[in-house]
Amino acid sequence: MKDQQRIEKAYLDDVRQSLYASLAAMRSRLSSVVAELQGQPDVLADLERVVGALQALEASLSAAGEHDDDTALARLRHDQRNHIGVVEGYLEIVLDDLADDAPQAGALREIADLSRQFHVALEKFRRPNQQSDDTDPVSAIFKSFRRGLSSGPRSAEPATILVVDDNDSGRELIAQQLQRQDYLVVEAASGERCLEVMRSARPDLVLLDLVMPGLNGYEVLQAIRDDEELRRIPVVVISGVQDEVGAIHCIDAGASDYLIKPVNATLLNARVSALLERKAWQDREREYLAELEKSQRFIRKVFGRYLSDEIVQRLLDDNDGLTLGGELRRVTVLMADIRDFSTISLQLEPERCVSLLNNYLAVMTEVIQAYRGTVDEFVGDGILAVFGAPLREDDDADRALACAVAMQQGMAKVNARNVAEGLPAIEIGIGLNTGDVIAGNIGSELRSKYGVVGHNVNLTSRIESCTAAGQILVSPSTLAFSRVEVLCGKRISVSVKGLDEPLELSEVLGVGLPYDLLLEGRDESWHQYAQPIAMHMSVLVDKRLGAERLPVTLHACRDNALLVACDTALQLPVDVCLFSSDGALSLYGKIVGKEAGNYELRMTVNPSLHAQLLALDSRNAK
Amino acid sequence: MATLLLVEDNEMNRDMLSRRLQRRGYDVLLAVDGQQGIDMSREHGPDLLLLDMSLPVKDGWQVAREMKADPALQGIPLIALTAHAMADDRMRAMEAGCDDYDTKPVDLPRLLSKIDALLESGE
Repeated sequence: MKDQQRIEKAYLDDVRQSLYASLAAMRSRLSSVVAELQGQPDVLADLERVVGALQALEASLSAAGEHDDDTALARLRHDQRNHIGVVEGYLEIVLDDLADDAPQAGALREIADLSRQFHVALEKFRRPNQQSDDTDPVSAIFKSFRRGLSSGPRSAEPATILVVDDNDSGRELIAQQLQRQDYLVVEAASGERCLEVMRSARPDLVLLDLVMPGLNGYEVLQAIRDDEELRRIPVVVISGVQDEVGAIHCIDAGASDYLIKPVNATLLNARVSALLERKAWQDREREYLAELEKSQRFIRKVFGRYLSDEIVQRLLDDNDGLTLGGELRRVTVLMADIRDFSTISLQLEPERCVSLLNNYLAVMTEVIQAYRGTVDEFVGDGILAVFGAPLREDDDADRALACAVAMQQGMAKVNARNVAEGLPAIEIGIGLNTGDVIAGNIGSELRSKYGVVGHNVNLTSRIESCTAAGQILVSPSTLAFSRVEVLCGKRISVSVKGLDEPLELSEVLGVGLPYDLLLEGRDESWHQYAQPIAMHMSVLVDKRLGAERLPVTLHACRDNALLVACDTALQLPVDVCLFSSDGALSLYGKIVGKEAGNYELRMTVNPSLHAQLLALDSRNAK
Repeated sequence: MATLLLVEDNEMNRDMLSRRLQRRGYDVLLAVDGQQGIDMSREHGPDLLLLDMSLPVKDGWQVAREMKADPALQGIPLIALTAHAMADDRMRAMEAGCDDYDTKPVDLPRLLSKIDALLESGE
């Protein structure tokens, strides 16, 4: 232990002596320079500061002589660094101010060299087992902090630098300088080898000699530029002073920078660290962009089928497309359903049934997207769309109302297509409701989608189930939130499970400006039968026929409705089935209201049915 | 050419560093305390701040935090200059919002490469 301390003390004394020696040498040279420059007050003022700093160095060094503990030494080094910084800084300024051939320039450069020696010795002025500040754990922490920002295993390693020069001694000199800075150095003696190493080792930086036999530096640069992968690696060209113009051409050819031989170590380090830093940023930026692109692709994939391009783009712009967690949102929910689809589907082969559905869903999706709705779900023949999620707009209710009318109008196109393909014409009913729902990515990790759930979704489904073919029914809340003019038809009062008050639904016939959409007026006049047609009627409960058969009479018809007289009071709306007395005829429909004391039964348009009824009527007339 | 604002209370360091930077082609503005640093940033909108961390009136930590919280100033890159090469100083400087740090006495080539890197990445 004593030996150890003695060794340490001897070492520190030795270093202190060399520090004193440098200081003394600097002071003596400086005093002669100061004497010679008396005529130049500006320069002199700066030199006085150097003199002052040297005095401070000497004072603090002698004051520190007695105590040798680590903290005191660290403090001493810190003070001395500050003073030597002043010496170096002002020397540089004075050298700049003096002409290169000024007689004092040589002496000043010697002082600058001495100050560098002093600086080096100063860093040794510590117990031998201590690490230097340059490699202290603090730096390591800081480096790891910086590196932590950029992900990837590569960044945890020291940077790899490829040095390319056919001249062995030149190459080794640079390699040594870089190794001293803790870089990992790979060497290549030819342009061809350089490209090979670049492809296999992917260095972070290349130092490239310009003049080489075989592939020269310029040709290597061109090869690098043509390679998508290699292009990202920065290249510093090294050239002789006579080739400086050529080196500048290399920058045009893709080089990041150039150095002139003989390579100055300080300049080399500065360029290398600046370029590595820049490359690290670029790598991070690229990783970030790749990440962004990946998530954008994901968003497009997940939402593209359901959302209009406009909404997808806005989600991407908002940059939070993936954080669509659950949230309570006020939306307008639209549900549409094909009337009597189960009957239709039973009559069609599966493939034709699917093409019928696809014709329908394709047109409807287009309409919904045009009104910036979100198609949340296709449930068989049903469509669930929302307006106001994932993005809320002021006119959500308006667009939903207009969309519903446009969908009914769009059915002409659907049916034209279906009929052309020999498929039956279909009709839909649409329900609309506005209220709070829970919106978010719902599902498991394996399968999730953006969707809405909640009481108001169920309520919309209930409203939709009250619609007749071609009809749109809307809840009071949607009308309350809408700002467009809405042309309403019939009102019906519906009692809904969970609601104390009956819900007053309105039939929507049209939407005013700026949409200006009106349902095509049907023939509203009734064709009176010559005599009432006697039939039986059963009420459907939960889509099943009730056992009771009520005697009814048909009094009039128009294209999609019948006027039915029935003595039994009915809770509207209600699904019913009518049977002719002979059992040859049966039809399904929905009683939606009362008209002149009779019930109005809406049914799916079916030309043959009317013909049959009219035949029945004329037979009765006879 | 880029304009740097040097905030440094030590007259000699301020004089020396500003002149050396000017000789490298930078326009250098000077502030002697933290508050003046903020005021001049607002008034002149420099391209980068060299910020001594131990300053009178308002220290560098406070300056960094205030500037990074101010939408008008947060775009200006900050290089903290700390006299002590202590772990705390470096981490604190980054936490306070500085974009880089360097220790005093300044190693000019190293500082220049940091300045250039920040100015480039901001372009």
